[in-house]
Amino acid sequence: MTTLPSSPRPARRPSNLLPMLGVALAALLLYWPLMLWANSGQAARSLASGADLGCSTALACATQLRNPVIPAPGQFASGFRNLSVPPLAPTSAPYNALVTGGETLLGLALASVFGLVLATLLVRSRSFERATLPWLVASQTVPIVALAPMLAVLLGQYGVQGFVPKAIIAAYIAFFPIAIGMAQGLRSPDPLQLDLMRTYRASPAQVFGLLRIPASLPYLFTSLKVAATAALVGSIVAEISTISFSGLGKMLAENSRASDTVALWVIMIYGAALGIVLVAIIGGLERLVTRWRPPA
Amino acid sequence: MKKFALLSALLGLAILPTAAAQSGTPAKPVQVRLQLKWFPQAQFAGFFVAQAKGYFKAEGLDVQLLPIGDQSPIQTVSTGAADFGTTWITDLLTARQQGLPVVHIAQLFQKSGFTLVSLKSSNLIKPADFKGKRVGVWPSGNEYPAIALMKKYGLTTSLDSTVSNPSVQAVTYPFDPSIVFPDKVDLVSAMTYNEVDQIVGLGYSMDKLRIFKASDYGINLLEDLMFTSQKVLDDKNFKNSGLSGREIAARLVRASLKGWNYAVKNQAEAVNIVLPLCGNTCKGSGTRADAKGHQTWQMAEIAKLYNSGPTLKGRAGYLDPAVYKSNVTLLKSLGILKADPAAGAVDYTVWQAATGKK
Amino acid sequence: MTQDSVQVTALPVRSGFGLPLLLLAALGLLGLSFLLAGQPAPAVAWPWLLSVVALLVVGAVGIRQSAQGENRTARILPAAATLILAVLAAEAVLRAYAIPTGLIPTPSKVAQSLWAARTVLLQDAYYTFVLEALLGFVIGTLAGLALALLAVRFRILERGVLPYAALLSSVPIVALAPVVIKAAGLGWPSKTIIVAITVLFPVVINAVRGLQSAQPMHLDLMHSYAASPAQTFREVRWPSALPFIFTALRVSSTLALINAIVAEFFGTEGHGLGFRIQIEVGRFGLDIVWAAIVVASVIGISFYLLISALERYVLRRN
Repeated sequence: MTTLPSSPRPARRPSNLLPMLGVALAALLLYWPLMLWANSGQAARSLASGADLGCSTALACATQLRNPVIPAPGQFASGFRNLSVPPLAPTSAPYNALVTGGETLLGLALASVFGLVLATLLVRSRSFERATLPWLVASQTVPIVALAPMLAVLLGQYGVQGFVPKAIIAAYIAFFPIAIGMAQGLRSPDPLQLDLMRTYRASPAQVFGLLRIPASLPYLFTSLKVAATAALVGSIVAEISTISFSGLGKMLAENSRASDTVALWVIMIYGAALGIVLVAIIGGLERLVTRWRPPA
Repeated sequence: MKKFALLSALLGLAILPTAAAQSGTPAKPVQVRLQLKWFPQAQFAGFFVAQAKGYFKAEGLDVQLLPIGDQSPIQTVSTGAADFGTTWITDLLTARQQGLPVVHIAQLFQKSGFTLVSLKSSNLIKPADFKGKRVGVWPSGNEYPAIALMKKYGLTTSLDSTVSNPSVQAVTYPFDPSIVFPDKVDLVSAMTYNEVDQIVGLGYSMDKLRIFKASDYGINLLEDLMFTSQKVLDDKNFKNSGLSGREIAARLVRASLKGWNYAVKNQAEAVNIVLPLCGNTCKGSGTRADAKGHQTWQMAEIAKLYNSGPTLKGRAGYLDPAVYKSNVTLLKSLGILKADPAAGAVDYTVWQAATGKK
Repeated sequence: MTQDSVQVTALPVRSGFGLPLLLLAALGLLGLSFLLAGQPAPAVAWPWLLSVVALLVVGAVGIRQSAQGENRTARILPAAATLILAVLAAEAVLRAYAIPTGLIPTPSKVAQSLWAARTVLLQDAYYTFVLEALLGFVIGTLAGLALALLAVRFRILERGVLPYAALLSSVPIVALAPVVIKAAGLGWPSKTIIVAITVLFPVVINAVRGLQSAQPMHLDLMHSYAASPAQTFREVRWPSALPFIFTALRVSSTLALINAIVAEFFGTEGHGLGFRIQIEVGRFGLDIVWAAIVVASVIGISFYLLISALERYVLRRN
């Protein structure tokens, strides 16, 4: 999530596949007893309070609870099938994940533009930095997600509805790491390089475009990866708390109200996968851009 | 794509007034956004029926029914994100108290469907027994009936930001009773038309439950009503349609009541209209998970709340002034309202124009 | 901060003009609010808005002037002035347009509510910050460090677990919340768990990177001194890991509080700032909502500054 841009990444090393498989296997072996333990506790409490669950012992009920703490394998399977087939139906998770992913990417794009402008101002004007930087940091401690409904309502007043308010809320949450990362990146060229530009009589705009911007790219991508997760949280929260017709957040809200625990688990896994895919997309973009960049 | 839609909408707006001036009614249906208080379900059957049967269209309206997120319908309507909405009366009056200019225009449900449910085995017989117990309530303005009931019996809750040592512990959760009931709370909020059946579905048959109906304890706070903002009502030319906001409101109420009257008479058909519009929210719980079964039962319970009071006298949608007055008196005595709401909080002329009754 | 930012001093005004300009702007805005306090809403709002904007421009010039130089005032005054002017301007604009409290409350109303509800808000803050955010932060950090040490000690673990940690750190926490709360209950421990999980992964990843960042030369040196592994760890690996670990902690410190608040939206036992915000939004008590947000922000900033101070102190000692 947070990496120091300067950390050196060792190139070689053997494949991680085998150890990863081992860990996955161990987790699977742990899952079965954990599931039985968690669910039978719940079942025992329900039975004790006089519920008719259609099974008599807690252990027998553990794999067939309607609201399991941890779903049994069969429940997982049917939950996945229900929410994934057909993949592009408005009620299925893959389609809604695409919607949320789209909102998040749009939000990230907005946040990048805003973050770049802010970073430029921060680097160019010391009075701006002194007047606003503490409050930019502070803005990150404001639980803006609490304000998402109000923000959406205010935007709705001006006819901004649907896709866009979610992207804006995502952008609000994501701009900060980008702005700070970019400011750090814009300042990263060392005095030697700046001196060189000066001897070439480069204009400030040239220094900016030819030296500072390219130098800041690695920082941009590092902060984009941090920002991507934050933006995803932003768009899901926005979907939950505003008028939405699609998206993982809307599914989350709907199913948590319809008391469908298995669906919640499935959506959680889709959300996790979406987060991983988004970071991977940015990683791919980074490789593309850094390869395309002329060698320094 | 989006740009074109916007452009054509703008063009449409530009053309509309001239067309309207010629015919008196708009040539193109007027776009109206109606904010529902929840996700689509039989609770709003009347609106969906009016939509499906073309009652809105017959009135020259193109109505979009909006599902709700976490915010209150009051907020979407008072800022103009929606034009009309449905909500509960306490919600409306407290909003009015906070300076939001929202106006009641029609009362759909004439009776409260709010209950608190406990297991008989927990031996709670009367509200005074709630002291020291945990009560599950819903946030977002849906907690008032529970607060009112407890306040009436001298109990305070942690929902009040001025009380630091409450006598009842309020637990909030995202609406699904199975999250908290029965192991984490002693009493749980439930609407007669939804959560009661969900609790039964969890394996607790009716004879294992004790249901405290708020209305049985004198807390008959009215629920689903139609409202709009003062701004919409005062609009001389609603969205450039050539019609006043008041006229649009009357048309909307007329078509909605027609839909509601049809829905409560033809319940099976109404349920079939609602079902395709549900996501996952129309399902019940456990043994009663089947969406059709749950919604059929919900429709029957909703009909009970609709077919009561003024509706029985052929005055569906009418807010009985006596009931309104007793609601206000109750809310004032409980300290939820500080003063009488402004006279403009309820507008009877819309209902009169819609029905032609006095 | 850097030399190149000094060149942008367009106005030839002496920096001594900064303070009077700021005072002028602040008093002007205050005056506007007072003028608006007596009457209901003015019929036309735009002259008021225009005055507010004009005063803000004066204030901006003042801020710019006062930001010159390297003394203490020049570092602190601009930020303080920005906040004060922004709050005063918001007060005047909200009054000029007569925005109802149920939509956006004026800062003065928020301050009143903050005082009136202080006992309850402090109680809420205790739950949200101490029991959920702080405890979760500590647990997540300790677990993360333990896992990182194991991963560095046993390479097989590093190769098996670290990729998962990197993957899981990009999981949105809101998707986790309903499921964890269902499993661990509505009380504060479920929120503590969520915070701990969100803190855990960045700490693991950065700690492993940091522990491996020790310079081979230093390690060789320790080797040639015949130092024990424990000594090598204490003298070389751990100090070089600290900057990495603190980077993770600093970012997690603000996230911990926000995540605790978000998690509370999915169910509570009636305590916490997130609970308070959620319940008051529903009843249009937005003055209380903003008061709770102010409390959360003040705690969040303090926690962040505390961690940063700790970072400076520890890094200086090493």
